[in-house]
Amino acid sequence: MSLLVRDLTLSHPGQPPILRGAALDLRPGDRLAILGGNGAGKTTLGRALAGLIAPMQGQILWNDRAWYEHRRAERAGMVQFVGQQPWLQLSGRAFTVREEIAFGPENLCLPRSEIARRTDEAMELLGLTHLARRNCRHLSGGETQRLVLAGALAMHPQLLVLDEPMIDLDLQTRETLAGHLNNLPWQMAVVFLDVAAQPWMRGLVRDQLEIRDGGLQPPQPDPAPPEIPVPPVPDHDLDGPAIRLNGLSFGYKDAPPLFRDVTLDIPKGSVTAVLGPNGAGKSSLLRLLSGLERPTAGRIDIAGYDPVRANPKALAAHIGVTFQASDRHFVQARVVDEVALALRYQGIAAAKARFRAGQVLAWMGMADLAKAHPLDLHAGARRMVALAGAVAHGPDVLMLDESQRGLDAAHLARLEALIGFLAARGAAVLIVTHDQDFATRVASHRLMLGDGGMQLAPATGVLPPA
Amino acid sequence: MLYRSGVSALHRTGPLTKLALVLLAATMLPIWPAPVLLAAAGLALAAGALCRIGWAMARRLAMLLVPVGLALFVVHGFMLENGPARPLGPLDYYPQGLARALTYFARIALLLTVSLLMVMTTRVNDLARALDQKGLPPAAAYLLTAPLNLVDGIADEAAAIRDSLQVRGLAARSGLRARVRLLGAMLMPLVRGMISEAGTRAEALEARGFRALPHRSLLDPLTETPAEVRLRMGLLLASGAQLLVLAL
Ligand SMILES: Nc1ncnc2c1ncn2[C@@H]1O[C@H](COP(=O)(O)OP(=O)(O)OP(=O)(O)O)[C@@H](O)[C@H]1O
Ligand SMILES: [Mg+2]
Repeated sequence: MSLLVRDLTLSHPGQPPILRGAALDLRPGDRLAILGGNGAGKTTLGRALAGLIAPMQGQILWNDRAWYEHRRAERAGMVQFVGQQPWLQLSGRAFTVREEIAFGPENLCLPRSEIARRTDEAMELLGLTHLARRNCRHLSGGETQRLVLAGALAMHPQLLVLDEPMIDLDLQTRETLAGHLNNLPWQMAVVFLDVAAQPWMRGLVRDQLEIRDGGLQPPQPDPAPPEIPVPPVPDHDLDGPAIRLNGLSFGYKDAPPLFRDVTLDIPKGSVTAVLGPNGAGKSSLLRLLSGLERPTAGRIDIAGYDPVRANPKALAAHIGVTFQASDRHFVQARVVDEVALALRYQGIAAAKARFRAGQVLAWMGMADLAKAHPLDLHAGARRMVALAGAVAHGPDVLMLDESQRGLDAAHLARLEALIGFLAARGAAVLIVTHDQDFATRVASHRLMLGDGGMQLAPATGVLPPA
Repeated sequence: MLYRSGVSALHRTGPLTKLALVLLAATMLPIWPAPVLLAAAGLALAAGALCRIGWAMARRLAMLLVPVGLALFVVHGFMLENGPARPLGPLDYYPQGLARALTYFARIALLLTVSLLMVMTTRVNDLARALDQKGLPPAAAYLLTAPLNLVDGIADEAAAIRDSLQVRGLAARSGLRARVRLLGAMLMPLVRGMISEAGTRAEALEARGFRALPHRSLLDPLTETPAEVRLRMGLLLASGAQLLVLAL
């Protein structure tokens, strides 16, 4: 595969151009990372490279020909793009994981033996073999991302464009995938789009470019993140646990049990990093704590409420939640209303709720986005909006499902300041994350999930082996 | 959302055979009187019960048929003038209208029962694959199965929005008023979500070569026993015969 980009100009209407007259060459086997902060235009560029949007100006040639000069079946084997919303990339035409991966090769009318070979190979690469017969609508976030990656790899593309490709994957899978991408049985160039260089890129990525000043340039070290002013902390009490699990057991229908007889307390004012591989049950734990699933046995006490029996409105006053696929969960047409929603449901008047939401947005540096539609923002801002919506009412327990992922240094600094502020006020903060550095920076405790159990330990202590 | 997993005989029967069964039921409607249609519907429900989906089926049928039935009987039996009227307490009713309502009701009931029997025991994508296997262009199979797929898509979407509203304090279990508010609050984001996602989904299908070629090959083709093929032929012949009766 050769990709040739000349004089490329990309922009969104009414905004300064992302790229002006940029050039790029890719040869078979190239591994290029294109970096840029939130909103720099990585996704737009990636989509242009994958032929999904036509550039305003300039030329992109795949194997020396323009997009429309390739036949449709040819294109599918030429470029694959894996985006930031993996659940939208499922075909909707498959029931099981295995069928979903086979969907692409089936469309190309490949011989059956070849389809089977590619499907098994892709499942192996992404560690999906044990999930082959599972319903692909009932997967965890990381499992879904793996599935979409596997579906793309099964096409044996010559160019693979990955937009924040490893964001939901556990460390083990990142390492294995990075290793496999280096020895695939076919020639493939890969473009990685990410906010910053990642640990797994070592030994895999050969070139790095950064979107800066309308061009693709060698990356510069990040400027130091801005100092974030933190409001003074009012008086509070830290007596008693914020969350108490008593003999908790849980499992989904038609799946092995996730938790067996777990008993533990999470103290007020703590920041707990919830860790564990994909499918360990991290998101499920947050769902249980929010009253969205019922335990099969045992009791949960969160901020003094039993989430199963409590009136959702009463519980909601004390908890703040962000979901892993937060884009799916926006319900309002304007950012400010989205952020104010929990306040509104607590019975606070519209004007007052909006005012408070505006304050939160201003503190997060997003005051100018208040009137935009959440889904019209770039991915980083969307995640920040979800976060703002979870904290605007001052929850006693804040549960963040991978909110830090994909944030650039400036946004990350704000998130960390916010977590610190809430914990200092006495809130218990639970953060699901695969990012070890982030966990080390913010967490006071670690909650390790896996094999039906949970282990809580201070962040500095050594965890007993799982 | 419609499909119930299971291992019963009906679950194992090929999608096209079940489609032929729906066709047979559809061709029965204009020909047979209400009691026959109702008996057939009862038979279908009994078959569902044998396949362990009886309760789920009955619940859905009740949800759909009770309001429809009530409306039919009230409108045709009491409101529309239909032949001679008879007194019933303080009201007048029309026996002919009631008979007509019964016919309509029986038709709807049979078609609904048999369709439910099919969709509750058939994975949508198996139906699509069966059509692909018969050599239908992928676009045609897509058109036939898209409405069923849409149901699942909307259900997932709605669940995400419901979760989001519940953790912020609006949930159906807070009472009747909350339930009404909830429906109102879900509508807009659901519509907006469907619209904004349709493009991405279509793009994803195209990127994976969907409809790039006039046919698809299948990783695991569906297999049928000769008995099943004969059964399907029988069902198709019977449907054809009924159509013939209708035409004469
Ligand atoms: N609705 C469901 N029905 C059946 N199984 C489910 C359902 N939702 C999740 N699962 C399964 O439960 C397990 C735990 O899922 P969960 O989403 O909690 O994982 P997780 O720890 O958050 O993983 P990730 O790191 O990928 O986000 C997974 O194996 C998943 O496939
Ligand atoms: Mg998760």
